[in-house]
Amino acid sequence: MILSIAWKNIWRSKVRSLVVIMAICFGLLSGIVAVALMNGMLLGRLDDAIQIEVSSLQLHQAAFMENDEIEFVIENSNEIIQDIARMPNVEAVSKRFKAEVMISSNRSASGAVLIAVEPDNEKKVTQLYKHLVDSTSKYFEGIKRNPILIGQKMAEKLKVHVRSKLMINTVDINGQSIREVFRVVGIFQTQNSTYDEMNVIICYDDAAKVFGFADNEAHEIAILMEDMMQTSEICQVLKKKYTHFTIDDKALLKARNDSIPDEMYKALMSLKSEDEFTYDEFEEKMTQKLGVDVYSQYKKQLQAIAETGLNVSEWENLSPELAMMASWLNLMLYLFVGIILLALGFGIVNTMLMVVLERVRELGMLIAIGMNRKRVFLMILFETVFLSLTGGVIGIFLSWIAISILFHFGIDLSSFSDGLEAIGYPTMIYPTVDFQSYVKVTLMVILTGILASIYPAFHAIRLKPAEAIRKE
Amino acid sequence: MSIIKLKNLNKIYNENSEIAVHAVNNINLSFKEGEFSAIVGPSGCGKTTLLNLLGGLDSPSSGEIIIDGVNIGDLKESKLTDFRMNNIGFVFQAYNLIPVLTARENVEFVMHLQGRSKKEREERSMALLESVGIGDRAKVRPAKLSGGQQQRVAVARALASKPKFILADEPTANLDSKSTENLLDIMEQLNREENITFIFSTHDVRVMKKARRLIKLEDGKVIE
Repeated sequence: MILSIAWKNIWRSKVRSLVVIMAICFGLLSGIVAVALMNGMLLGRLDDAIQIEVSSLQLHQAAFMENDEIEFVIENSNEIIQDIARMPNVEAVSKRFKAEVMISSNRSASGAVLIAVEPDNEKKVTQLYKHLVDSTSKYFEGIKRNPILIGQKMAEKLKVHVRSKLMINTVDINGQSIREVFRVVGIFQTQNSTYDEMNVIICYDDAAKVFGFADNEAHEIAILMEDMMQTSEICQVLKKKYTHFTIDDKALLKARNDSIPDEMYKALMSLKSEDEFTYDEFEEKMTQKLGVDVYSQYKKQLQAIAETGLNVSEWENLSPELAMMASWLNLMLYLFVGIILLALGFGIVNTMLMVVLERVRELGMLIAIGMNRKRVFLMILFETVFLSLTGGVIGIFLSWIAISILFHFGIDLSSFSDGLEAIGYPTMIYPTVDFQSYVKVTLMVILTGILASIYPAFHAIRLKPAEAIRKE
Repeated sequence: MSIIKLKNLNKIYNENSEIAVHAVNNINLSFKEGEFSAIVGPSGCGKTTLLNLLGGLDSPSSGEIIIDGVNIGDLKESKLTDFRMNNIGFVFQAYNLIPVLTARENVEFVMHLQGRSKKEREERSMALLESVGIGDRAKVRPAKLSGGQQQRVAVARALASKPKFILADEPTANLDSKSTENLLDIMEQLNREENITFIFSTHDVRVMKKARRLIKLEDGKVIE
């Protein structure tokens, strides 16, 4: 009955309650939609980064991660690719060869990162082929000898177009200086103009001839997962299989340079050996030496120091700035909605205090006839929560409708394209908020209601019935 | 047999100051079961203060209030609230019904606080409303009832918890003469037929005429 009275009490002063409900409703609407916009931008950036730049997972020689010299290749890449392709939830695997080159046209020159790919496999892993600027650009079709894909920014810099010749200067796998002519087969434009300016793509087979590496060699194996949620699981499987650790003089020197705590250094020293540990052996030995908690805390650092064999990295490690942004998504929600609810909370306190002051005589009567103070407190608390929740639920529902519509049509920010693309953000934004966030916002509204009710409720239970009943 | 005993009861407002008011001054009184009594006297004589003390709504400065063998001065806040709920019915001058509940729900409310079953609540609330003559207005909210009808709902509510006695603080002060007559008839009938104890505070002559015992107060003292 207290719940029923609390609910009915909200509607005693319809206008006042509706004003509070509308304030909560539009406050949440604006907060959630703003968060959805930011989510849309960040997820667009993440999507692009994963689908064009880093994929879900990458494998490299451990030494290549430290120093991307051309000689640090994965030697049996074909076997590894076949092995990975058979693993569950793996959508596609592709190998890449990477080198820093000098690229020049008749009119200009620039430094670039050359990425050699197997076009058919790469198409399954990255979606660069969807970002060709016009119909004259092809994804490695139409030019048989040394085709090259370049970004729009690079094309502008070199003042070239499709079918233009480009000269590449670099060193081969043996350190010999080489020069080779390529012809532009296509120009791409992603949402990240820095990527477009820095990377050029050629065929793996052409690179093998030019650089003189074997068919089985690659610098990078990129993996795209069917389900991104499974990435960590596969990453762990691959680490156990391909990552090894050696705690030799080189590793100890690295540990000294990294200034790791003495306790870690001593643990590494005690395990010094020229032998290679498997992933599990390393974990076991370090846990024994340091304990689970300390090892967990320094795990990444210790593994990086002693890592040999292949390094397996998730997109979060490969692009930590994106991982940080992804972790901001939740923080933004709490921050935005939290600030809005804090401001609204004071309004709710004020309203509920008015409610209590207007009902002093009634509250006195309730206490007099036997409603104990706990029940009076709960009644005011329920009223406040119902008031907040009504506004909250309507606000969340309206937000869901608004976000669904905006997600369906997208928001075109192409008028700001120069600025957005320079920092790698898409110009078409699809605002989105996951279901969990709606639940979190609802809980935050309930919490606001509870907190906002405390002062008015205390005011109510401090009333003395004999005095309260006689209040005019 | 006395159900209420007041021993050397005092209530002094602003006790240790120059403007101390001795609202209830050393009163010794007792009330028997089935009484139909009125505490009378001019405004400011201490009627309402005495009634508040009797109802456990206010605490005395000194003295004892013993209801059915329990010294309510010894009860802690929460026990006192429960004691009021189970032993004392209140009828207020301004009716003080819960505006968002219907007449019947208002009567049911105390029984709900007592934890009575839904069936019992429904049957008793209807029976009480019938007994005060407004069974047909059970589903109407207070705002749509006349003053007399509201006060009858308040009487039904006061009876709902099966109290040992009912305290009515100037129950007719806001009623016209016809409503006053009706209300007093109902309360007198309940007293006569069901032996319910009523204690009024009033300066309404019509109530005084109906009362079988008059307790006259002046300056906080019983003078007659």
